[in-house]
Amino acid sequence: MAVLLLGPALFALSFLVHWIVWQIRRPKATGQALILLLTGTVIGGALVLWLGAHAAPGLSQFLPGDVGVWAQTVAFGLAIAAAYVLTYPAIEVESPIMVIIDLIEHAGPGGLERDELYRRLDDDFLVTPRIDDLMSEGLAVDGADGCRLTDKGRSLGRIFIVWRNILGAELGG
Amino acid sequence: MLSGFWWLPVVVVACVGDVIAQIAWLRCFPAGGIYRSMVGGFIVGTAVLIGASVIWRDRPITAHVADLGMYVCFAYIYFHWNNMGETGRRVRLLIELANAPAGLTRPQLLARYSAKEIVDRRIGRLLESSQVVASGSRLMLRNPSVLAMTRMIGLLKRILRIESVLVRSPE
Repeated sequence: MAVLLLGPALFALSFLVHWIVWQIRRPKATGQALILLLTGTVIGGALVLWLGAHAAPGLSQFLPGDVGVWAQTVAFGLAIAAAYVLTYPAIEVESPIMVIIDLIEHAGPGGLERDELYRRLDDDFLVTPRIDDLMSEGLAVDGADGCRLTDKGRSLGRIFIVWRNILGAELGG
Repeated sequence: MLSGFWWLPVVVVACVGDVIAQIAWLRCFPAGGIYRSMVGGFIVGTAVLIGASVIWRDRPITAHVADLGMYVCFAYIYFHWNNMGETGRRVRLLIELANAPAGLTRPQLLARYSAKEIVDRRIGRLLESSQVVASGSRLMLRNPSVLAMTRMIGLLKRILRIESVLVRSPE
């Protein structure tokens, strides 16, 4: 039972630490900070409990009994944390599909004119901030002759191009 | 000691089964689209997980449930990975820039990938999945599932105190 309860509990602890840090000051490179913070808290929390079980043997009856179960517990906590990390961009930036749904819902039963969506969701709202993100994340630079990818951006772009080729999928967006 | 690690091959073979089945599905039935292939991959991966759990069944039931939990997390992550390539604006911009080694000015980038294209693609997906219906030029909600997701993301934005038009819609 320990693995089922402790894995999600370690993630809950890491979410609490994430919430506290975000209330104090949201980091600039949020993705990297979030990965480090959640991973560190899940592994660190498990380590503290493991040491605690050795210091206070009474505690060990509530904790995993062997190293394999400990590993499964940590892996379960990290898997939930990874799922949250992948959800986080939709929390931090405006997801166009969610904004569209929100606007249609707010328009009421009569619905919303398609032109109203074009008016509200323009380049300044949907595209320019994402171009700026590429610059702030060090994936591209904005020079005199335009935007170019950095080595980091080129590598990441190549990964997506190769993956889309494996799937046989067309250009997304 | 290694017997405690039986969960690892069980989860790994299920994840590999999911990925291989999803790619094969999309290659065989490209017209079905990427989202249907991901559902297919998830079903195959779940079947592999159940099969592997039966082979290595000499473990507590809670360990099997945790295996399932990890596999579901992986499937969710894999869905997001594919969805990023399918709908991610930053990914699309990265690919546009990767295909233009000499670089692109902002107006050139906007000409290749504009807000209108982004809105049109999403309205198309919403209509195709029957989330919204069109009556003339007006769009109306039909299925509340994406709305429920939108509300959940709005709630997380509130909890983390992240400003958003979803938290305070423009009037």
